[in-house]
Amino acid sequence: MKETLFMGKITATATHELKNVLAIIRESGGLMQDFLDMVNDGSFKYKEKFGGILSKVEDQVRRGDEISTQLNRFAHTPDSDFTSENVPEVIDQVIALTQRIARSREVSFVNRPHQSMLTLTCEPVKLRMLLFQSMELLMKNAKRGERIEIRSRLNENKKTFIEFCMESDSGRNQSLDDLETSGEWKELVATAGAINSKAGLSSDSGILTLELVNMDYK
Amino acid sequence: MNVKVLIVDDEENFVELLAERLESRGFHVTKAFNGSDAVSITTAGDVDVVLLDVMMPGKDGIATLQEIKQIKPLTEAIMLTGHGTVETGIAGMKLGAYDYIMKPADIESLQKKLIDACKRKKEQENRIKQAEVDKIVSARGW
Repeated sequence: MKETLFMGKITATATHELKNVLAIIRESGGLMQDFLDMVNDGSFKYKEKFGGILSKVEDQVRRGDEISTQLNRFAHTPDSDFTSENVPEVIDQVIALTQRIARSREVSFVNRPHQSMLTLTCEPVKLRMLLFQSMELLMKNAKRGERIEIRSRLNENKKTFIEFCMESDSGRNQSLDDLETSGEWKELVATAGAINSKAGLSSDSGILTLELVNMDYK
Repeated sequence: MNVKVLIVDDEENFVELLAERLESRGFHVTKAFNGSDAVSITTAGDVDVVLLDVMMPGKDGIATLQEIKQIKPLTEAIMLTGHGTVETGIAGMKLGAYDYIMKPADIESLQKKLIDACKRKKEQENRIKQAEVDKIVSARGW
């Protein structure tokens, strides 16, 4: 736990510095755009080209800002052993931070919560680990171009359900056969068990389900 | 509106660039790179709004805000926060800051907040002037 806290602290500090870097890049680009806007007599033939480049700089600042914000929140995860989390927000965070892996495997994730506020009391690091393990397992077994929907909801017994639904480009569900015997699946089940939760696979419909319960930490 | 802004941040490049952008939009900008200088400038000069970074070495944003508010209670402040310091930005508002804005800040949002903060200061000053006039009128029985 000490090690996790250490990693989190250093990462959080670095993301704070990244914010300053991004702020300076944004202001530099912004100032160049200000100067560019002053030229209105057609005397600068590259005005449009420069404007396009500056707009790309601004887009990348926004992208970097989003990643660094999510990374900062992630880095603060080990600050508490138990905490109340908004599940759709945590899913957004894990999706944002694993975008690169998903892109390299040509897979995309879509967060489709049943309700925008879905509170769960849990161990925050393990919840993220469980989500990541689920996503990684599905990414490894997904077809190219696969779109995976992550649906979260609360049932009548106050249990939180997260369903990862694989739908291939053709519209047919991808089979999850053979996954249940893999070492990765066993690890995922163990992580779920560590937070009193369950993981299940429905191979026919291509759905991986996590059933999560509020942990009592008093 | 003639808004006198003091930008306070230890990131000198950021201060210089932002100052130039705000000046080109008609703001009168003064710069400080630490909390102590910010307090001295506010004490000596006429500042409407202080744009104050929360996390600075030495005197941090909150301590600087407290001193400024003690010396010039009507001077408005907008806290500049990073993601780990939003709570500090909110704490600043509890201590009298007008608002907070996250880095990297969007220039249009920042411009609007600075103008709104300045408006609040001017309104407050006008109310105080009016109260003083009312007091004189009442004392003299006019």
